[in-house]
Amino acid sequence: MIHAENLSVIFEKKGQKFQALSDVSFDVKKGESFGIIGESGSGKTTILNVLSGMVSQNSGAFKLNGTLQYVFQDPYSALHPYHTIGRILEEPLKIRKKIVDKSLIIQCLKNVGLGEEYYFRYPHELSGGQRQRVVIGRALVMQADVLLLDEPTSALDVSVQAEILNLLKDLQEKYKFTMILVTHDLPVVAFMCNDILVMRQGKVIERITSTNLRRGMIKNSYTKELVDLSF
Amino acid sequence: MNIIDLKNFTLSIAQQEKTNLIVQGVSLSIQNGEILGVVGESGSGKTMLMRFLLGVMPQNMTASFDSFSFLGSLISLEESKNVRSDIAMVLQDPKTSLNPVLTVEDQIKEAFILKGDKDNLDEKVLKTLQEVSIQDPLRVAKSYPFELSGGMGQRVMIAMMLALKPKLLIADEPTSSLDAHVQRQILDLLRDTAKKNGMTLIIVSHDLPLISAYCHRVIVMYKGHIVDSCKAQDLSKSKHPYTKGLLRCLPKLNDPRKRLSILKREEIDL
Repeated sequence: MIHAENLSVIFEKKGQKFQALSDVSFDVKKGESFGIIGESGSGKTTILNVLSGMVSQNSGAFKLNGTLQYVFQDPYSALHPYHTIGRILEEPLKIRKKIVDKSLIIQCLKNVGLGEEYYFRYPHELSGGQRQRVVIGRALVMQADVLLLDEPTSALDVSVQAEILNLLKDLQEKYKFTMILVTHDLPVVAFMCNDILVMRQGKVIERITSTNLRRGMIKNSYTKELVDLSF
Repeated sequence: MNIIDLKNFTLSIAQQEKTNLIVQGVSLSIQNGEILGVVGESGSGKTMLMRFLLGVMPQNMTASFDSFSFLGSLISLEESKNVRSDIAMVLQDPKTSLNPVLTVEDQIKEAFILKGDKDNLDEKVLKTLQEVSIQDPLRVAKSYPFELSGGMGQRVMIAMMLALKPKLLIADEPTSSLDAHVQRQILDLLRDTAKKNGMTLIIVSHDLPLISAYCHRVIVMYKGHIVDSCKAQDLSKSKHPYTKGLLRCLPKLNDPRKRLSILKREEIDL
């Protein structure tokens, strides 16, 4: 589904160069749940930004078969405060000049566990978890092949996080989309993803399966450190 | 001796002819030198309870209690509205809590001056920054908050609060915006300085494993009530359905599961 080869990104600020990504390569198969883990500044979000076209790479290339949608970290700032939930969900369809059908939007609300009554509500009337459901719904309404998720639950309570992670798993089973999940939470990425890319200072440290991560079959000392640091 | 004794505390807010209870009949005793963990979801009232202890409650809220004593002296309802200078609070996000147009040095000096300490401030600022394990105190002292990383900003916040020499330090989600490595460093720092200065520490967090690892005792808040209270090391063995529910929601590295358990709120009695 995605094939990335030697991606490098350099940001320049006040004449100072910052290497956000250096020679990052990876493959993601169709329908796979692929995790990227690392601390802040490790380049994990930059990978998503390159894939979605918000940042262009300085060297290297990637191939993407299909369409992308992005789910942002903070559901409080990802929804337009003056638009109703219905209008928010219709917007990507309008932008792509697709047919906007209300029944489609209501189906979309139901898919993410929200009722028809949410169509006319505004974001401020919703809890954090409900808003994140809307953000996920908006990504799904375009029937994208790949979902990019940037820390989708780090702003939520653990009980709400459990609901959202279960929802994502259910939806993936139903719609068979590919998922790339970026997080700094090791237990979350191990729960969601089969394959995990460990990043540090713009470089790939290790690619490891969640099974090996659980069994402690870890090659790199930095990955081991991350495991030891998680409570 | 108890640093705080609070009996039957209730906090309410009047909204559109309706009174909403934020905290309901909470009693809380904190021992001198204790590290107390407060856990709860957003909206559980944990932050408002802390703001009441500090004396910075929002003005549109109404408090009531049977008795409240701090450092052994009784505090009346009227007095409870004043800021208690022996308590300091470290907030979640250093980026928004520090003054963006003052250097670190000037902000920490403010704290000393507030305490009536006006001599050799340059030296004291550097010493406080060293106390919070800042390697390069001279450079950090001259920096503005935007030039600091999240962990460094949080250290500066803690340094500023230590300058106030509080008897009680409240840390409200002190590490939720930080990486695992930095999170450990900040929590170690809080724990060690509390021990060294004989300071009582309250850590507010929604992260149960973290609280369990760093505190002596834990209280669990839900819908304005304290629903559970236990020794921190016994948190994982708690019998309370809400605490158990919260713990079960967490994905665990050593426990592969297809689905996570969902908190069943209807089963929780208050």
